[in-house]
Amino acid sequence: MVAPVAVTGAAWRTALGDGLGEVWHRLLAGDDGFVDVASPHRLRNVRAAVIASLPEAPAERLRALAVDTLQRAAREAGIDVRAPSTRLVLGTSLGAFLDDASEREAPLHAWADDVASTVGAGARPVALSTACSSGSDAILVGAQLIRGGLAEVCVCGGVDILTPSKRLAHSALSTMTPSRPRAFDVRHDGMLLGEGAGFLVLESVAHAQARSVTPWALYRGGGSANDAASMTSPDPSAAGARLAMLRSLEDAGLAPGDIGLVNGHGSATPVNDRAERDAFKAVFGEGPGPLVFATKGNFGHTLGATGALEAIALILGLREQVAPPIAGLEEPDPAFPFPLPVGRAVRHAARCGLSLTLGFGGFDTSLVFEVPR
Amino acid sequence: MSSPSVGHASIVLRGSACVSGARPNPYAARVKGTVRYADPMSWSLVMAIGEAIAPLGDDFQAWATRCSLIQVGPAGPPEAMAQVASDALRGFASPVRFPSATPSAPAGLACIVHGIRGPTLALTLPVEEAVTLALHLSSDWLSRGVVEGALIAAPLPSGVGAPTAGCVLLARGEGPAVDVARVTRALREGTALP
Repeated sequence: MVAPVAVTGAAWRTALGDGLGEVWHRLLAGDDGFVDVASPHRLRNVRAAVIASLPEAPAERLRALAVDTLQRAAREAGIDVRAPSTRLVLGTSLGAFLDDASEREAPLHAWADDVASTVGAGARPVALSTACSSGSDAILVGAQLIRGGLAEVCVCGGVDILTPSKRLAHSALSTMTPSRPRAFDVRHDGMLLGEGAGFLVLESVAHAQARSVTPWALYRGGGSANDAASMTSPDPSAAGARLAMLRSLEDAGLAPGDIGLVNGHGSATPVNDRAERDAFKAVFGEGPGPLVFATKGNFGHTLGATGALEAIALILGLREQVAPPIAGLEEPDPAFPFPLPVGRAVRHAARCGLSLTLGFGGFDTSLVFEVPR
Repeated sequence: MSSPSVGHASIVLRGSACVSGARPNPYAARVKGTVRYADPMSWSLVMAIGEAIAPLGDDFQAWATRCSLIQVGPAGPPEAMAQVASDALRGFASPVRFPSATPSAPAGLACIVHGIRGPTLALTLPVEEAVTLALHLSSDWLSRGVVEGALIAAPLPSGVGAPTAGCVLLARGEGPAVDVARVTRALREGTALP
């Protein structure tokens, strides 16, 4: 086990709103943020979870979303992003790269540099991209920077935007549902896209104590793996997801039985749901197992932001001792081994939870959090 | 993050390579059932990793599940990105090309080809900056026994002609300390090993 890292602040911006409490209550109510979004092109589904009041141009939209959310996370934690000892770790998947020619002509880190410059960051940001695991990996990397003494505070997370190229591609890939997302449901047939941003503020426990700050939660550990199977589909053997979860538990110094709550990837594609189900079975065994929830039916699949949004939802679920219902889930897959919140929020007593993300290119990342009681 | 070397004396460079994508590609046929298209930049990364791990022979297969890969560098797969962007403007998307257009696609492809199942990342920073962080992460994973081998690989932007890529392989062992300059040189030239 490696030393835990304190989570001292968080912020998100989603199609359901941007206040932690406001969005959490909407999740508990089973709300979703999907609306019809006009498209000049034919799509399997024109619904998507979009955020109002953002610039239209993709590159500006990405930056505005990141700057606003990151600043709110820092304010929430009471930290100064201008301090040289504070690092930003920013993840996105495709961001605006495919929808803005100037973004493609610039280095891949230009967007993160612009965000850092806008908020007056005192140190060069870390930029990363691991498809749909980008937000999770930003948190994992931020925690490693703190554990290694390379930073005292990290503001880390993910951001991504809805763009025409992504809508067209997911429509063509048939990962987009023609109806609505239904993670772990017998009728699951895909996801709908969304956009958003989520950031956590991480700092060493000693640094938080020196500021007389009580951690909001503890980051206990992280682990990642690659499916090594396909550019789009998960490994049918679920080995990558299983390895990622086991590595995160080992890093956290916890056993599978210590985990009482899981925020699954829950993309609602049949292949992903199956792989995830089998990975959960392999890791958590045949016992009562954790309560598993998922939020893509509320936020949409926010791609590079999803891991960060899901980490925040997991922490809120641990703090409030309740899991929101899985939006769209009516008839759970009978082979799903663990309890799912169907139709209503479910109370629990879990202290430790795990968030799993699966990304194109086989990028699987698992994060473990604890809320001390 | 400006530390010039890794604070783990027991981490050593086990291999390195720098490969031009113009060379014959022995891997595409091997995975044609799984990978129908990949950007030339991604293939160059696959070939560089193949050359760096070649001295290990079959031993690498025993390692692959416990080998990490960190892709470093500020460039994405240019051909795939340009094609997907251009397709989108006319309302088309190729389900084959789209997944190859993500910044982390080179690392994803390398994992498929070489069976790598360790922690995998793409740090989209300038190579020298990314190497500092990649060394820190790799050394931590090696020191704690999360992995047996750690690859750091850089697809290098090419103005004209075939792309090139560099790769280093780190492992636990005794030897000279691994420093950022040496690894950066190895990624660019493949000439860091004694």
